[in-house]
Amino acid sequence: MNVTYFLFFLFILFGTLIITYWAAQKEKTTRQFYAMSGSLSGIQNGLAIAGDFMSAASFLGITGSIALKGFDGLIYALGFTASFLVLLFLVAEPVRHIGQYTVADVIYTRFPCNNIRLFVSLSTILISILYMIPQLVAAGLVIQLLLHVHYHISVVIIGVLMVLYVVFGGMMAASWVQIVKTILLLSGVFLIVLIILSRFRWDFFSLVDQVSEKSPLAAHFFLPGQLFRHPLEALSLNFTLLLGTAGLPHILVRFYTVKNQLLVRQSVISASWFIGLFYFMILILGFGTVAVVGVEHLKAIDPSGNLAAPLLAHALGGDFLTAFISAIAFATILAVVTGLVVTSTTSFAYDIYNHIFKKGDAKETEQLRVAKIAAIVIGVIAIALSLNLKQLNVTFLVSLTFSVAASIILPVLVLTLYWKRFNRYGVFCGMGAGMITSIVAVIFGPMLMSQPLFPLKNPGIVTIPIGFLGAIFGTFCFEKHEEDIPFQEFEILSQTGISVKKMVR
Amino acid sequence: MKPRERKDWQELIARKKQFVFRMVAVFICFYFTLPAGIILFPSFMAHRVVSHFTVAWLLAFLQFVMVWAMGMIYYIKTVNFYRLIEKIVAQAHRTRRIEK
Repeated sequence: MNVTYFLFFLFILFGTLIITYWAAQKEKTTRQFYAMSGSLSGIQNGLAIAGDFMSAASFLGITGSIALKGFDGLIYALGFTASFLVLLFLVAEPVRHIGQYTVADVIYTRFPCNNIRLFVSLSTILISILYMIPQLVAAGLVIQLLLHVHYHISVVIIGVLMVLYVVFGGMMAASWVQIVKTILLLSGVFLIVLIILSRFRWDFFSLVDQVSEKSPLAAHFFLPGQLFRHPLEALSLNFTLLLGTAGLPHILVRFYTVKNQLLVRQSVISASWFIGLFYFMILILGFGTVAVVGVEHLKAIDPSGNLAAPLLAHALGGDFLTAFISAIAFATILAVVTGLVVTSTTSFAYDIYNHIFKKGDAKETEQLRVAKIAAIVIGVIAIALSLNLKQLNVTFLVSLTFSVAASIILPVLVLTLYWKRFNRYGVFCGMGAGMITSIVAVIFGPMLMSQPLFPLKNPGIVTIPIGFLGAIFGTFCFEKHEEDIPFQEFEILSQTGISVKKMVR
Repeated sequence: MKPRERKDWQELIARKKQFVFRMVAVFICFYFTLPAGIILFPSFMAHRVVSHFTVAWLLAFLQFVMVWAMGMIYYIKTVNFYRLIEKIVAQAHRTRRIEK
């Protein structure tokens, strides 16, 4: 085992445990556990939101994709960045105005029905677990490769850590681990960019010329069509990334960790700057990998390209920089999975236990106990699935997560917020249609079948419209329920944050 | 009078929604210009602009700029929106006090 790598991993481990210890001292109420009492500033929350986007797939995956496939690797970066506008314009403020801790709050407020809360909550838990698995598998492989620790042990270590952070530190630990990781990641990537540019005498175009010379794709590196043979696949991915990220529950709950709508806007806007600058730097890392490491060398070590960033760090700064970058990658995965655990835990304890089992009357201590038990159970499920899915190419789960989030959560959320005629039956039909088509499209798609019945790896371009159509169909087929809140009252609350009851009191 | 019956509320919310939907329409059109351009006009998108960078790259870079610029425009516009809301709420409270 390389001692430098080991020391850096230990540093991250102790750093995050100290944050958790500190958070555990402060966390005494459910409001603190679920949403840290809205105590983050706009910039801090922006860093945390950006951190949620900067997953292992973003940092390791996009660097490798750009190095191997050139222009097409950039599509992910564009989709993630543009999705901030969907969040900002359509979702962020209304979610903050209406909800308290979860996405289900928002839909339930307009359609007070426990089955809706249950359905949304189960979808939240499902999406979070589906997203956790590829992260855990990636973490296991990274640690196995760098520290030569067995895959199973690596996954268990990460899994136990994420559960510990949530059980003891709740949202506060999850948020601060995320913030620290984002700062580390941005600084680490910036450092590598500076080293690359200094190698090319600060001449960016000389780096670009080298890329064109050294890439096996030559001039085609700068043209589309290397990653996606069919343009429709690229279009579908664009569509899914744009809308899928705005439907991810662990992003949406970040609007509850600040005090008011002004800070929500500041959070989203600052996050868009952080993430945009991050992807610019990732682009240079991708170019640097081609020019400094070489594509053949990268493919020989890792054909998928996921180790592009650590290999580049090694070529530029030896063991020390590799250890630093790998430790940041470790922290990245750790922070993202912790955020996912806290989101699903909150959804279970608050939506299912408190509101459905206890009719909203669960005591604080009871809720906290259930939340902690839920964190352990969800963690164990995710670890068990990750241990058994190592042999499978888990990228289909990323595709499934985004497709499910974009086809289930987003249509229902947008229609709840903006469509006057929408009703509770539309919610059920929309979510059901989105869920079934997403699962069917992925199971019968090219990710899992050699002779696929459905041609697209990313089915969003088909499943998202079906999610919307299902919701519209349900609304037209059934009459409005008498308990549904009048849209105008709901709209005033969602758009202004002012409760009508308060106004007329 | 209930807020939902007040004309000023309705107008304000309608104005905000109109602004938001316009922004969404502009940004979605711009966002899909790149994939649509690649499908419909591949040779134009492959036309070099600077160094090895093509029109497609230029559009990709502009998307980052678009996200930052539209985010800032939205931020500035909504500051006024919430100021107006505060004004209306304060006015409503004043009227209620007088009625009592």
